[in-house]
Amino acid sequence: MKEIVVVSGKGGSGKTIFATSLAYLFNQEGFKVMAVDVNVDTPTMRFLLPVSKIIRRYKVYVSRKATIENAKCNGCLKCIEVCPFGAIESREGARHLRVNLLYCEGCGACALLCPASAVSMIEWKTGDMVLGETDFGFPLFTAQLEIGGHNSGPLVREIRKIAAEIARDMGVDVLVVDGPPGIECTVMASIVGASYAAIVSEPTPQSFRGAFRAAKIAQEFRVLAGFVINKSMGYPVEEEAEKLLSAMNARLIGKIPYDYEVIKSLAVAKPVVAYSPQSRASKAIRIAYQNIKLGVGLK
Amino acid sequence: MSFIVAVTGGKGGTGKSTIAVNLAIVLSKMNYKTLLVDSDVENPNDHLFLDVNPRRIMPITVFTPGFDVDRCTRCGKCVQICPQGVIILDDDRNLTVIFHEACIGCKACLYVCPQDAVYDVGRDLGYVRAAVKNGLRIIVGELKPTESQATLAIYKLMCFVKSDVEREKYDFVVVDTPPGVDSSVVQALRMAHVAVVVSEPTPFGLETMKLTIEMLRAINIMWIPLINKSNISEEHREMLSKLCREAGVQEFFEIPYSEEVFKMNMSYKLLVESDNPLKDAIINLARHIITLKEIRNSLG
Repeated sequence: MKEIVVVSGKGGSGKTIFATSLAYLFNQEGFKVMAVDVNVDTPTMRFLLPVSKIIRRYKVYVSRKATIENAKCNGCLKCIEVCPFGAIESREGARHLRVNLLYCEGCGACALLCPASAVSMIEWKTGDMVLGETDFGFPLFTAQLEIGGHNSGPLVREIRKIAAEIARDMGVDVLVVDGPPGIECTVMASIVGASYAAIVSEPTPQSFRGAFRAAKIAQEFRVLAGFVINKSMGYPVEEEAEKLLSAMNARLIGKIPYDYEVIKSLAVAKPVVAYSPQSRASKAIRIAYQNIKLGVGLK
Repeated sequence: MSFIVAVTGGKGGTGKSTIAVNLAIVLSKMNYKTLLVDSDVENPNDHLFLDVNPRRIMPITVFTPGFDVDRCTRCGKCVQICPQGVIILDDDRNLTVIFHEACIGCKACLYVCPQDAVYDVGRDLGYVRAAVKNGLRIIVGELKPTESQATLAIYKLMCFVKSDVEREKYDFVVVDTPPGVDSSVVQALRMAHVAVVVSEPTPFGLETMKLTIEMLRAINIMWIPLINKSNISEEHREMLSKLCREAGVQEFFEIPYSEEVFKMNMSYKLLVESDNPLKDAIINLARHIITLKEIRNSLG
């Protein structure tokens, strides 16, 4: 099974549009594909790959939150001192403590240290995972974090693992994973161990800066990576980026032109390659797709 | 009193940084003492718009344990108490932290040690950087690439900002938050009096707007919607404004899509410093925020 991860340094550069298009193309060519959304904070793949049938729903309870029993509190305030996130508030002085659940990350340091055993940890929902069948006939696995929840690399790694297990059981050949924006822990966790990382960037210095860092992460973890310039308009900044890419030994696998058809495809909620297969953007996406297929050795 | 405005909006790439930077410049040009805070510690780029290179003024440090080998009796209390499970006995039977990035600096080990053998070796999560450009001060939080505790870094950054605000007594503080609705965003919104929610009329923008509204309800702060690139889909623009109305917010600001603005971003030019008529939307937003501050002040 091949796992292709789509990431970008900056939000809004076109990850989801590219990832959903890849999944659609793989399906069209007869591969058994599954789309996986690990952008757990704001997963949006399901808007371009509408789910018509929910196969299974999973609730994940791995988070914890602290709660304080003020009747037991001896007023030492050690919990306030120890809380790394400033989540414990005392409104009317000692023995009237309250945990602000918005800020509590569930580390449990307060509960471990309270000499009066007034703090306990309760189980808290981390999020939901849904496995569904899309209108196009292939499955989509989406994970959604609770609002204000703690997003982390280990969480993303866990979801990828679960998705891969489900995919293996279903006999899937290709996983197309839509990663989170940014360049840090969650992105690293999405790239490590994948067969291919497609890095999507728009032609702005802000976006290239993040995308280059993503490319470096891929290099460090020895994941084959390809670079896609989206919304390309032939500006000088693109030429500079191309030079930097070749100096880094990174492959440029596609240049998707700025094309209003893409925006129209969003309005009707379809991957652009399905909505307007003959558009300039779709043609460019198909070239990138062929490159990725070659890269991971699929025929 | 300083009036704190957070610019947020769930989805990446909707224009949070563009709006935050332009808003801060407008307020500063109106002769209000203004601070711009870039709390998107994973990918801070507000300073790129301002064409300044903020210098590091302070590391963002957290407690990380070190162990005094001579005092330690290997009782194992710290190993048991560590909520992250990162303290272990190494091959030489000495205590050590195996995975520094996971340590959240709670000091549980320090408090629990009966021998006083735990001390603080400290660790830098990242840096606070600062610069001044034409009277506008900018504070940038930057997470080190190897660090993963973004929420903790933002909390520490905001503690620093709080003390800076108390000292400098700004009229306005504009906080650019990270994308998303997770705990790092909640920390970035912590001190805000009002949130400007930047969205775009696409299915993605619509969905993340729903999540953002839910988050803002939980935090319980006032918010102003701003629909960016508002002309790209009339249908979704209507759905967005309906969503806002249903949440009890009648008024919203909008900026239509313009390739010229995109080009400006590419060449570090600022909308409010151009003669593009779209800058009026930002000026109106600034006026609205000034009114909100006056109302707040009159209420005491």
